[in-house]
Amino acid sequence: MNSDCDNMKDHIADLVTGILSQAQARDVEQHLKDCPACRQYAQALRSEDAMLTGFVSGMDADMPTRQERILQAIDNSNQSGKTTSLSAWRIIMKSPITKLSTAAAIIVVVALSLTVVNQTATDLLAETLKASHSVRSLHIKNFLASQAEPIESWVEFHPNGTLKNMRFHKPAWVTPSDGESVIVWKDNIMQLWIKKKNLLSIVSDKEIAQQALTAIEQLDPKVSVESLEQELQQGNVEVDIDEPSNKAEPIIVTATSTEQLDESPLHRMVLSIDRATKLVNVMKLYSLKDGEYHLEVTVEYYEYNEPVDEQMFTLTDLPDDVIRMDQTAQEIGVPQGDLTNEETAIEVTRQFLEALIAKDYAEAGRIFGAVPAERIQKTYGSIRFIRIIEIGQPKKKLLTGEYRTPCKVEIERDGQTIIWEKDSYARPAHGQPNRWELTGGFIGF
Amino acid sequence: MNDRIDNSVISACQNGDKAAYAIVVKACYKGVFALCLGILGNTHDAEDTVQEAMLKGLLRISKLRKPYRFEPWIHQIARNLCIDRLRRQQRRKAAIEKEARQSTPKAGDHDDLEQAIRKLPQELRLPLMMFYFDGKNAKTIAEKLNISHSGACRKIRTARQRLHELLTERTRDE
Repeated sequence: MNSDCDNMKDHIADLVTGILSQAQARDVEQHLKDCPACRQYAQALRSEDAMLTGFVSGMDADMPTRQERILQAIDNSNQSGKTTSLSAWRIIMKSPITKLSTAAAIIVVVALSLTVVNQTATDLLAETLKASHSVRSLHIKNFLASQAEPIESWVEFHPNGTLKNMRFHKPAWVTPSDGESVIVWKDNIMQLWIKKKNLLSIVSDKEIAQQALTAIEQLDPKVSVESLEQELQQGNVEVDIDEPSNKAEPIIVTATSTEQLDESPLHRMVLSIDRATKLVNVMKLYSLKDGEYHLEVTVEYYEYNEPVDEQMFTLTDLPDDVIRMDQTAQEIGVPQGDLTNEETAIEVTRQFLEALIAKDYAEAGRIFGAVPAERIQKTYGSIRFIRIIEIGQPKKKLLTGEYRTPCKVEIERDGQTIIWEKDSYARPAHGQPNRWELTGGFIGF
Repeated sequence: MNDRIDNSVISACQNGDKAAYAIVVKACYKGVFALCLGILGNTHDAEDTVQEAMLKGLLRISKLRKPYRFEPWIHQIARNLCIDRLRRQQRRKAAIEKEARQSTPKAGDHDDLEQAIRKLPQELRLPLMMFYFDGKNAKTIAEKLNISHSGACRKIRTARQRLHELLTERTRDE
């Protein structure tokens, strides 16, 4: 075969398999007339195609027999509309007593004992859930498959099970632009320390804190077990329980989704449960791709109910020069009053620029979400803001809810007078109803 | 498949009608078998797994919320069972393949063919089996595997070429 023939190989395979267009098929047939090597290759593929077709025909001929075996098993089974899973199947299969040789016999055993043994999965999950509700403190490490460094958190719960205090370490890989950050939540105050930017944000609005709190709540083992219990009762998962004979080893619960949920890539959850305490030690979540399970998330649980040092929920190692943006200690931004959102965005921008013109850096910082005056001065102090030329029409950013407002300002910098064109970003201030703040634009931090 | 099985048949199954489920088994057995053979690579395991999937489907059909999704639902059950079987048999599978490589060729085209099919990587074997069991319809395969038509054709072509290499290897080794 020459190089043309190498190119022809794919077409020959398609021709034989019957997936070539008519025009392409004609071209290939013409080549085969002139090329003995390709003709031989095509003949070999045709012969194998016939073998495959014969193989399938042979299977087809056996289909009625195979189907009959299943139908017999169905006739013998005790179908109950109320049974939800074949976890009993697997539990029984592990018992040496029931290693029977024929499928029909196994089905009979399963049918007889289904009602009794099917309780096992539900009972175990109920015990685990009950144990989880007794947890008052916990240390969690959350590993994503692609990352060696976990997201780490320490949590305390109220007696009613809701989150009381939290410390949340976010590694740099989560948000590279921010770098490593630490969030603590205590007494309904959230402190966010962004190390790379040397920025400490203090807010009291749970809406901001909610993102971190939701992440923690989703890692709460009782939430996972409760959700799994519900899914089992609704028949959306099948559960496999593995209890090793070595009592020191944990119980492994494998829950696999039974439905093809295109919107949910996580098809399998595996829990490792301590035999004595019935508490979850490890939770692993798998996606299903191309017929194989891939580990996506591993959550490890430590130090159940071990007392947590109070200092864990405060930030004690802050640098002296950390920039503090404390929104709990003052009113920030400007009031909206009767203004529309667009008018408010313009007003926030205008007041910020007027503060810069007046070199009132404290006021500018207060409008910019409680940034300290010295930080504003450091950023803008070398520029003389002369006058506002124009503030344009704000546009809302759908993703963040901020309003982007174009501005033109006359400034003097390095002895030169220029027209400075920038966009400001403004939004409602969290935790301060009816007030708006600047969140970005101009020169960032 | 579901244009051959009425939703009323599925509903009857959900109400405990075993005769209705027998209709469902006959209608979808071949497709599920092709899927299992494609994943597992041998007819014996495929047959066992299809049986397990059909029985599991019988026990769980009352929980199926969308009757028109019966086929993808039973396919997913079968797929999960195949994956579990492969996981349990991983070590045993390696031993079988080693034995297959070392064994003398058996007489009979179908034995050679089955051995070669078993040696195909799963991502090629599955579309190939589905293609031949489903009347050589690349478009249907593309839909079932949730890939493009050209992607399905590419996989089938590559599978056929790889199968040819495996079959001619065995011929050279004889």
